Amino acid sequence: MKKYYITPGLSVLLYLCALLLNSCGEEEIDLKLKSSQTRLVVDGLITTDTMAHCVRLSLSGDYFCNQPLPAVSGALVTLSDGQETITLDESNEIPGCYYTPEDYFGKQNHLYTLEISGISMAGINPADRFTAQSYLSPLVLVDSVAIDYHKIWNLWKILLYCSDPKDYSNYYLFKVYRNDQLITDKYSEMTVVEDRFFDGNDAQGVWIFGLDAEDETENLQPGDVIMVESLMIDKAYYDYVYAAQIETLPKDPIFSGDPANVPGNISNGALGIFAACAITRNTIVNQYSREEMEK
Amino acid sequence: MVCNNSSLQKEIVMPFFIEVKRVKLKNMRFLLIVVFAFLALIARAGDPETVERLPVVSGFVKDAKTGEVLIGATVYNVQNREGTISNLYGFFSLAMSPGEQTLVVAFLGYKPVEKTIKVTTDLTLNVELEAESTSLQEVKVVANQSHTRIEEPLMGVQKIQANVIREVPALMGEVDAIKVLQLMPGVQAASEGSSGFSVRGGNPDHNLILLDEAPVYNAGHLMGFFSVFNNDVIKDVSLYKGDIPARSGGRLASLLDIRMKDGNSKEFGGSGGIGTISSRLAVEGPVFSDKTTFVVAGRRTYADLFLKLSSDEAVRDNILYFYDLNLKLNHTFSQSDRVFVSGYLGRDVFKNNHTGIDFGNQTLTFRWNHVFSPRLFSNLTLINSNYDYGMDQSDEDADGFEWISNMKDYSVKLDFNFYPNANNSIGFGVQSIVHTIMPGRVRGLGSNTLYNDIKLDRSTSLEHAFYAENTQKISSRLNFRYGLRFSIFQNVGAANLHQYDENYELVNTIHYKKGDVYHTYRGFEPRAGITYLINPQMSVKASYSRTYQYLQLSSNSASTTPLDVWFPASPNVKPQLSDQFSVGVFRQFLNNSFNVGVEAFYKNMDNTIDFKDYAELLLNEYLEGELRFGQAYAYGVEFLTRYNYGKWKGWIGYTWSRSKRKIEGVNNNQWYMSPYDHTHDCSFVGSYQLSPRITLSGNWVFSTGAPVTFPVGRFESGNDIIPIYSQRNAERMPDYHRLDLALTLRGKEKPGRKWQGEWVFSVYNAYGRKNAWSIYFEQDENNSYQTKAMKSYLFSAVPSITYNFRF
Repeated sequence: MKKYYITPGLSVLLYLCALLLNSCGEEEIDLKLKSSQTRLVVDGLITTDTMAHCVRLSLSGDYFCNQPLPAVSGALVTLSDGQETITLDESNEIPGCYYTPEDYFGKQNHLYTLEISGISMAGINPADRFTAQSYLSPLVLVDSVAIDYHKIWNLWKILLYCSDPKDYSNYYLFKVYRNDQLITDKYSEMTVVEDRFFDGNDAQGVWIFGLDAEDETENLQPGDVIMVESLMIDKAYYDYVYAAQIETLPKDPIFSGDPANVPGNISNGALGIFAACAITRNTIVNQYSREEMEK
Repeated sequence: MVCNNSSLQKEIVMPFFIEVKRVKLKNMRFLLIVVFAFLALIARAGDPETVERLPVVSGFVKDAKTGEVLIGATVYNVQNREGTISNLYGFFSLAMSPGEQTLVVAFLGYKPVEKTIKVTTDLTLNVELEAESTSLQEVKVVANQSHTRIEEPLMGVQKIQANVIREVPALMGEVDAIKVLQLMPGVQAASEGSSGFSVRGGNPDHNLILLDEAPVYNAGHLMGFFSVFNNDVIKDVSLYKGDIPARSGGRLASLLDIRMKDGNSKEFGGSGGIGTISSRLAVEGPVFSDKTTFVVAGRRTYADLFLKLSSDEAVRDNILYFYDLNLKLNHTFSQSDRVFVSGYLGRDVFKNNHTGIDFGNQTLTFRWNHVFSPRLFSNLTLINSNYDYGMDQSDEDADGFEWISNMKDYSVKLDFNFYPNANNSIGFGVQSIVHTIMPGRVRGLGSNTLYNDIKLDRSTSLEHAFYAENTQKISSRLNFRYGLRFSIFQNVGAANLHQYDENYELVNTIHYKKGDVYHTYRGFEPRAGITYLINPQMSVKASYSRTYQYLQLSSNSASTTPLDVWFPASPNVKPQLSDQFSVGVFRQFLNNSFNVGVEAFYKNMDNTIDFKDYAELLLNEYLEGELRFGQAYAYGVEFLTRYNYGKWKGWIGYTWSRSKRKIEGVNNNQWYMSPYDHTHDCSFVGSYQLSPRITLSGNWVFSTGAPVTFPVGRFESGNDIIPIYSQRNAERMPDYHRLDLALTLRGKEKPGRKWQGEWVFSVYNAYGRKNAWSIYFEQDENNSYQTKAMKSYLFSAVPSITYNFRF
């Protein structure tokens, strides 16, 4: 939420200073970086949707390796909801992706445990076991979403209406689909919110996304169907996405602190995240064109 | 979480209050003892008849043309080879044997004056020195003018005069004292173009910046590209790099003491300039008589006018400027009483239709100089200093908000200089400061605003100090300086004290009533120095100083921003502590046309503060939970040679240094480089007088790139590539170097015409090196697996033209 306050004013100020000095710029440079040891990477998300949920296993690599990193095949991956434990099957088409059965769904107020073992890949000790836990938080229903337009910044605003439960630390993650197409597929494009600043309030039109009207791919047309996916996440996933946003966006020496490793929740030195979350969806059809909104 | 349970209050809060009362009583007792001791001293000194002693010659050293008092002029008795230095208000006092004595009074850049006086009893002697003419024939150097400088048992002091500052090429032609200090050894810009600076590996907030004794909490305009100090009103700039005199304290690394002019007492005059981005005007002169003088100076940028030329509507509608206003008025009641009132007001303003930011400092200083006796000088100072910022977004819907923060200091200070005899010069005094900091308040502006108001508690604290210091001449070759400062820091309610467990999780909150002193720190800060004169041209020096710091800036980026907030020591935050040792050799050559100094220092710091990863520093009620603590050290060697030979003058500085820290919970508890560690740092600063009317000047700086954290690997998560880092600050930015040039053309001086003008043409970064401001990494737009390293830079060559005038 801090970014929310700072972004409008200070970034414009910084931009204006740069403009005044009129001599700044940026360019690509050639840089040699050191290497680090290979580690297991886990990327797994279980939701309350009924579907085949995926846990993806891969390896880390050099920063400038500039190609897809190797998938980890043949591992034993199990998932427990505290009552029953299932084994995930590796996909034949996509190596390294381990799926639940198609009728699987996450249950609210359950603690999920993921266990990974039996990896035989260079750089990983075959005896190592990796575990992670995530609590599937109760669902907070979103009443509705709305579309508005910010004339000064030429942004389509997506607004959220819901009631935040009081005295419970809620963490939310939002994604947007336009005509069934996910348009926030990167961490930096998603929105994560903790309710510290509006704990227990009725959120009457919280601005959760801004779509750039000057960008062809983001500008909305009349008839566009906008769907907002709201996920109730745990603190570990919130921290992970928050950090991933910082680490995948450009840094500047005035506002950015020191870079740091994105904190995961996998044991034994593995990287990545395993998260269980409740999910809800709201849809709205856009009525107006940009020109109409600007009037 | 909040402790409002009555039984808890009894168990935890009550014993605490009792402890607080006990501490209060103890402090009161100590304070009384110290005050009585001082009073006893004053009583003795103020009554010279009761003590048998030598006659004393005392008075003020002034500039003959303007009547400005000269700080640090040497007054030297040729017969018995004893001398003294004029104090911060130009006052000197020197005991001497009865009879005919010859005094030499000298000051850098002025013609020395020799006076033969017949001493029988106490004598008042005001000396006026004439500035050396700039014409070439008279450029010569007087052997003994810096006689005591080499003798003085004080190290690591950098003193710069306003006219030297003016000659160094500047960014956009805005001459700037801080930028010139950054060319001195041991001093580094916090980041490119920044007016924040690091002294001997310390943080920018380890520097105490005083303008006429009032602390300035944010010394930068725009994003720090220009400092708040208008060179037209500056008289004296002194930077004490760790060998801080006992009269000052509260910061670990340095004291930057900037003194404003008092105003010309002889005639009305002024100076100013029209520059590329700003114009300035200063006027000064006597009011009614030479007993009262004033200075008024203003500066405002108009660079935002250029924004109007932009084709982009969003840019055109912006307002962006800063201004400075300096005011000073002083009145001399008699030889023994003089009062000064000085103030500074500066503000940065940025606004457009929907959002705005403004920030600035205000300081106000009242001073009363009183000469109790020829041997006892006193100065009473009342100080007020404010810093505040505001930010708003005035949308009418739920998103509008207003955000403000401010800090205020009120302070009273009483300093004495006592000169018991020619071999001792004693300073002592007391100071009390009230700090109040309001870290932030945000409230929604819309009628159906969505956000709860956020209002962080205003913190109040008291900082007191008592000090005494003596500079003693043991023999003709040996000088000592020894002093002790005792500082006390107290947190005062109303306050909510959050308590954290070992994992920095909040466990409890205690509320204190208004006026309750709920925590006290205190510490002795010894300061000492020794100088041994090997021969009249050469000395060796050593010094030690301990400093405590009770207020610090919450900033985790290399350069500071106007939104950074200061926070005090507290039960959760121990005061930072530094012990510094230094040794040095100083030598002058060729009749002092060259002087060379080499100093080595070692600094050990405790309770060093850093921040956890991704710390939230703004609007965070639980800021103290984001802090991590540890230790730090810095060491290095500094080399400085100043030259003033024929048509050439300037200096060459070189520093080799190291600065590291180890913080629990950061970098796996391993040692890592401070962001201000620069192994090599050198600067060549020079000017060459081509003809009486043309001066060429230039400077070249080089420094090792700042430590930085780069990725050592990557992993895939979601649709992103996420970097893996190894150690913090294990890599380096590319080395930094830059050349600045300036050409000054002075108008012809005509007899009878007061107006003097000069054109300054300058280029900052003359060979246009694109020094990296930051290095960041991004994914290729077409191939998301491809990552590349990008560098951003702030300045290529920046030319500018300024017209300066004086009348």
